[in-house]
Amino acid sequence: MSEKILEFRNIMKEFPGVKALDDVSMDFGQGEVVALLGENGAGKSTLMKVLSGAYTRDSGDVILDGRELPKQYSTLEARAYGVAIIYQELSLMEEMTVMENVYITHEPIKRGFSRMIDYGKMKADTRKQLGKLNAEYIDPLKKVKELALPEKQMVEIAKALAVDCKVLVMDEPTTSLTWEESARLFEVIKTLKEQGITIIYISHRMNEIFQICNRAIVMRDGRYVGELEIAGSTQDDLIHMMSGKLVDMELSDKERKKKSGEPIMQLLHITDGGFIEDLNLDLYEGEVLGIGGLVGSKRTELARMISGADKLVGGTVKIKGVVCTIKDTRDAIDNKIGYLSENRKEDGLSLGISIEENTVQCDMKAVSKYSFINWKKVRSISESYINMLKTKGTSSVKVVNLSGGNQQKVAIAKWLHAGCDILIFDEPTRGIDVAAKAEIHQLIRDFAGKEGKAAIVISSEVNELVAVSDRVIVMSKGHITGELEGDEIVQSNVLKYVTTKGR
Amino acid sequence: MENVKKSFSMKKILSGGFGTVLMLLILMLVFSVLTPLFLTTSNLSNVLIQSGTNAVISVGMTYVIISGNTDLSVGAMLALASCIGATIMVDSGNVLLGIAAALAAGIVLGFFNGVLIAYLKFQPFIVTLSTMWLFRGLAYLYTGGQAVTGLPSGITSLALGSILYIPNIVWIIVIVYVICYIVLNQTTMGRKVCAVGDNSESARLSGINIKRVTLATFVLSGFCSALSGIIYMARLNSGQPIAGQSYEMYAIAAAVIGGASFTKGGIGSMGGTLVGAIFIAVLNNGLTLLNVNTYWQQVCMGIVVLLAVALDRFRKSVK
Repeated sequence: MSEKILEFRNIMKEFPGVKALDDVSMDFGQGEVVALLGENGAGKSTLMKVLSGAYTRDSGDVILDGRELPKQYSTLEARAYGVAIIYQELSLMEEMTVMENVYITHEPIKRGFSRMIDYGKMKADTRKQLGKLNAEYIDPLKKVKELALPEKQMVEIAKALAVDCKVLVMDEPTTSLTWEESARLFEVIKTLKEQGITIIYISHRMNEIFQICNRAIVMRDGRYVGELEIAGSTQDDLIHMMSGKLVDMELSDKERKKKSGEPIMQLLHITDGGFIEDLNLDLYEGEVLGIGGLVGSKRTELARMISGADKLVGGTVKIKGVVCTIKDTRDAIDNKIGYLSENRKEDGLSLGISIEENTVQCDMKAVSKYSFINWKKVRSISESYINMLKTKGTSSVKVVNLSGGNQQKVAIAKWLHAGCDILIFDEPTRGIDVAAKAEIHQLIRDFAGKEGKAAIVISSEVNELVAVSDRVIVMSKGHITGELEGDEIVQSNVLKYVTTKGR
Repeated sequence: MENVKKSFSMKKILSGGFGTVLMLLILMLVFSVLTPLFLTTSNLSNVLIQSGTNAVISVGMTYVIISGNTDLSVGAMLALASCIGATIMVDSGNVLLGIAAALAAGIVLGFFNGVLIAYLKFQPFIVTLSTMWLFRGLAYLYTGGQAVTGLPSGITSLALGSILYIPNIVWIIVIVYVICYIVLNQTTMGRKVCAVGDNSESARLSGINIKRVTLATFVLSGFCSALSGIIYMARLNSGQPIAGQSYEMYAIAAAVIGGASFTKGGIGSMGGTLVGAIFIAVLNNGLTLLNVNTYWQQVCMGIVVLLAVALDRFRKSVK
């Protein structure tokens, strides 16, 4: 390792009833890219929040560039020390310009004045910062809301660099990026590394870690577990260290079902008035149909139309040969179609409400009589799903208090309880650790395997599609560009169709 | 966090309005010490009766706030509904018919608000700000700006009478709160109101008809305003177009003192709101007994609401 830039020594942090960080020590060298790994709730985020000043540690030392940081400091002070964090949910002001965002709280001041902002210098400096990231194409005067997501991310990085940055933490930066965009981000990370900036990289995507990281540190249950040099390690080594057990993710060809019989659902001439035009698709009983594609392939838009979340502009949905009218989500659920949203926080869950109420939200009729709720029944249903999905939490706990992975399990429980025959899972394992991923894949396969059921899985991760699907279709710009069955379902084939242009 | 915070039950007690009850008890203790007139049966009964109009209006307001909206037109609905009820009562000489007319008027007015907000997606604040003037103006036009007098004698016995030694108005409060408590906590409708307030988009995707739920809360608010208008009319023995001025503020204050959040839906409780409404009544009553002038009473009211918000912040920081 090169010269030490950041050290954690014996960090402790307790929340009521739980030791979030238990005697954590680790260090980071200058210009290193280090993956910080662990299952959901392992303590990665807590540790990073301690570093960023969002949480105050109970005890232990943080040493940055040879200097011991005070016990309590604000996030603004942390930034001045040289720590910057880029969260999954970007924290930019949408209505402000790129340059205002980059220099927020550090605006250049006109010479001779004490409070007048020097916009000329701000613009020039922003150009310079973006230049370091090979992102000169972003106009400093544009409003952030007009930018695409990867551009916003560049702005966020430029903002971090604008104040002398020594350690940059990136929390799942590629979650919403396409493969090409991710590749471009990795180039930027390489450049930053050459400039001597240390990057702490949090991700659940193994192949990325092997692509860009020097070292991986693993945490589990609030403790430091161990670390590996990436060169000379395999994915299995890492997964094993993370979960303490081996996870089998591959689906053998024998396990993949062949489509057979009459389709359980038929989509005929589906149109959204934009990209999706005359789309036809059959879903067969018992199968898991994977849908691959890039951001902008309109997979989610298709799913939202079928499930009543958005208006079905044109076309017909047939369930078991019968045409059904879907005007809203209630119609869809009554027709036994459910849609697990890709954004659990924005529209997938009621965060301020308990696990049990979320679980029964789609089908309150099943737990009520004359619209009076039977809370005992609600409790027992909720508990059976908690046991089945191994959710960490008790029924009466508010969902907001759970980690991302456990929240996702509650969202899945909600849809399993909705009594649907066809479930559409949109990015079912986004931001979820490897072990929980495998569990959720198994749940989806179990669901589809039951009589009269079928599932659709939309995923941006090709290996997820390979791991869970009986059949895969690939969409591009609203059109189906390819269909794969049986042993054709391998990563390279999916990738081939992804970039195929629609008609 | 992965692990669930064990102290959630403690938090639940605190957020259930326990802090507010404590504040109310302290306030009552202070008034008992300062004046012998406060802690007497007749005065306490008086306080409850005084709290009646606000307590009933606050029920609808709490539902509206929990669903993530706000209703500024409650005071105006109270006035218009009670004037309509009073006129019909005078014309027909039938008390029950007048009451029914007032309640029907309240439902229609609430429905009007609800349709604009839920179905036409107008901003709730702006809609009810407009209908506040609209309904108030209609009340003046309808009555020619004059109080509607000469009500049948039956209506005053509603205000003054009692059943089983308990004043009728207290009975009304109890019945309304018990029903609305049960609806909010034990029925699918009540839970849908909470779900819509917590995250309306998630509720919609779960198949909840959020428009209907929103409409229902505004209809309830109209109904409660009208019921409150009937109590008002009974106590004054007349229909007043100026009735219920700034009652929306008292109702919001009662809900907020009781733990509802004005900015984030999904939070609030019937018990909390009742305590809030009684709190306001106790405060006004005690200060009046102490001969504090009305200017100072307003200052106290402002401080109390700020204290309630501070208490709320404190509750949230106790993690």
